[in-house]
Amino acid sequence: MSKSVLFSIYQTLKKCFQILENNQKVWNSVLAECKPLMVSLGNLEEQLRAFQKVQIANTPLHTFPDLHQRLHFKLIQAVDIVLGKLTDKMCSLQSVRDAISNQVSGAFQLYEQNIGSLDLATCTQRSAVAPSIADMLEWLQDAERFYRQQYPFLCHCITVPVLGVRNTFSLCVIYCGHASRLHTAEDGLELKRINSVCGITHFEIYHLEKVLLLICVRKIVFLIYMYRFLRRKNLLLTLRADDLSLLQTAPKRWESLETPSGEESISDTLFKVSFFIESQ
Amino acid sequence: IVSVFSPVGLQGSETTTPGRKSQSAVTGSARKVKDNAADWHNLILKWDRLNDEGSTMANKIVNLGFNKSSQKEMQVMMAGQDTSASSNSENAFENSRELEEECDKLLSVVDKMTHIVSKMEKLVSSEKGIIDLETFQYGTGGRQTPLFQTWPTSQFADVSNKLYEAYKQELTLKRAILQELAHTTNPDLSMVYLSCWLYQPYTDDRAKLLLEGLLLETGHRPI
Repeated sequence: MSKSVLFSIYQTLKKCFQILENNQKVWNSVLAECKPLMVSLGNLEEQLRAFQKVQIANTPLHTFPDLHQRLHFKLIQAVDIVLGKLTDKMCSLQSVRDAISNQVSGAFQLYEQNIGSLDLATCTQRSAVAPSIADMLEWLQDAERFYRQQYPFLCHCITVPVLGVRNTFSLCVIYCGHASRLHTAEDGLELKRINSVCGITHFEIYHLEKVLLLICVRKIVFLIYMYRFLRRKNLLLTLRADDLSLLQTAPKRWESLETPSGEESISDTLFKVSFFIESQ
Repeated sequence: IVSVFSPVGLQGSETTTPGRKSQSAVTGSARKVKDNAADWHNLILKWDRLNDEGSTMANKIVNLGFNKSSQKEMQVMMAGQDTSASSNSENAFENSRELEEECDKLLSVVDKMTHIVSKMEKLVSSEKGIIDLETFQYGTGGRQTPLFQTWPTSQFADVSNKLYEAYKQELTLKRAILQELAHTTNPDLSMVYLSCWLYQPYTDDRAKLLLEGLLLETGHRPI
């Protein structure tokens, strides 16, 4: 088989890993920036909860005019600001996920185009400085899957109360459902709960189905990924005590998503290919 | 009113927009108004810093207050046991001393804020003086062209007044919080006091907008 085909595959793979490395740094720094924001969210939730329990008219502050409405407004405004920042972070994470996704699918496309001229021996040949093509494709696919799974779960944590008109709440839930076996049940329940609480819904199919087909040299594995993004905008909702539970659980759910093992495997992959990337 | 700067005339480079003066040639009433605007900005900046300091102290006071009440509960529970009595009373004493210290610090913060509000009051009376002077010079109609861009002189007084009222009300609230904070046993009410201190319900976006408008008009912020 021609050397130029092999060379172009190696070049593409190199580029993929370089992009993966850059994006990993961006991903980790954005996540680090999210931590203090989640702490703020938790604090604000505590304050709102206390505020709801207190009747200002029965306290020494009853002489202050409009204090109840003014404080309420200020607290909600503070929540709004924090959630706005978190939403921006989500956009950064989404662009990381998309960048990795695009690069990896490009690599696989190139591989599939040249599948006729790549025999088993070539694909599984390793050297001291370069892993085999099969290994590298597998690692890229693993990395891509990691970011694809992480992003919807992180979004799932964040419920976004946005200040509406005249101090009523608009609840905008950025919600991503993942259609895999493990998580559909949980997502479905959350969806039902939101359905029952909200009035008017406004669906927007945000992302079309995407199918990725991978043929592994050793075994045939069909992986189908289906992603549906649901976004509800501007649901008018009057705040009730039980809705604060969404805010309250957000920081805990966020923390529970920390997958150090997943992060480590990405770092390991990058170590394994470090010689390969640096070679000419 | 003594002119701080004398006008510099440059041939052919005078702007023709009515009321607009070059930066170096602001004199008389306009100078005073511009200085007042700068003073407003600086006072509010100082206030915000004090607010943050006070918020940290208020948090400590609430936490120390909780420690005190939980220690009292411990004392009641361990009433029958001798061994822990002395260490408990030591802790309680330490706690009370710290609590008193923090309350004193918070009091000094509120005193500084009171000083700031009294300076704000002076700015309001200064603006009123400028209006009185203008009425004397030009009659009840006021001056023909605005001092800066578009605002009539009365608007500066109006803005100053609104800002002063907002901060005065805020100060009254802070004094009330200062009085109540250390004695409140209800944790939710304590939290509400802390929220009131930190988020300042009476200095809202309107106040920010008024200040920004003032700074834009007087040329402190570029348009």
